Amino acid sequence: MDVRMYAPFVESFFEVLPDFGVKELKRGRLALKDKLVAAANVNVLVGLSQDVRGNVAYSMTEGTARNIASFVMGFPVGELDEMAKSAVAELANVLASRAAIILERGGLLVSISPPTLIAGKNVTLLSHVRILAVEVFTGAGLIEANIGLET
Amino acid sequence: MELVELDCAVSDPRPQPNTFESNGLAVIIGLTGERPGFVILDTNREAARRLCGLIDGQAHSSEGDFVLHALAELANIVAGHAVTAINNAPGSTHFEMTPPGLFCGDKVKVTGHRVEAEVFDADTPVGKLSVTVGFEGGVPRGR
Repeated sequence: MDVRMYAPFVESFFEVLPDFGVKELKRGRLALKDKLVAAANVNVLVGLSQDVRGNVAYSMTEGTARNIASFVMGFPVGELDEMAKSAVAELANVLASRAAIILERGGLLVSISPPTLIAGKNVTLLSHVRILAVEVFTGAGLIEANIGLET
Repeated sequence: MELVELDCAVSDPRPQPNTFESNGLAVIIGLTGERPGFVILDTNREAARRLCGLIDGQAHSSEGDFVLHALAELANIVAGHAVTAINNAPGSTHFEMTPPGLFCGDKVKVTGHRVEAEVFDADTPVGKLSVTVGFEGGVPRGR
């Protein structure tokens, strides 16, 4: 596992979230997880291709998702409706895009797929590779980046 | 479905809403390139178990690791065939696939707000498989 390929997915939080007014950022625990991950209720999956292949799933509670949507949309969001889901998915897209830009600065070409938001109870995510899970505490709540790369 | 020697009847595609409910297990394969998008293979737990039983000749009583990985690989093969056919067509859009991501859960809702998608069903002896195909800007037509 080459940590240089994973670090941009954490750096992107610190570069992107302040632009949306989300502050008080702090990195939490790192964990290497097996291929099956019991995820939070709201997950946004973004696929990666070209020099870095894999998936990153941004996982959070519904409360955190509502808070994120409130920051992105600029007003309080009381329900995770279609518009709010769109805002959360878009933030994940920006996070993954920024990570891709950081990786490209290091000489690795990365393309990302459109984000897919998965919301429900007892959600399990599966990857064909081991997953590095990184907690990021934010002013909107805890977001876990589950990064599975073919490295 | 030649892989598992399975007869299947495929429905005509119909528009897929931005948010739809999964039948329990879904494999998402992202598409990157000129027209980013995704392919989602969705099915229920029983159909997934029976489908994997055809692959390895074993009875599966739960959705263990093997069942989930086999479903992901099947989706990868199906999407790979389609992407290869598109990429090989003269003057066609070029796509690359991301590795499959799979999820399962109860009453899971899937939202792909950036894409316009269509879905078709494959009715097979082991159960129904639904395939959603979506692209940013809608499904390309006859180039």
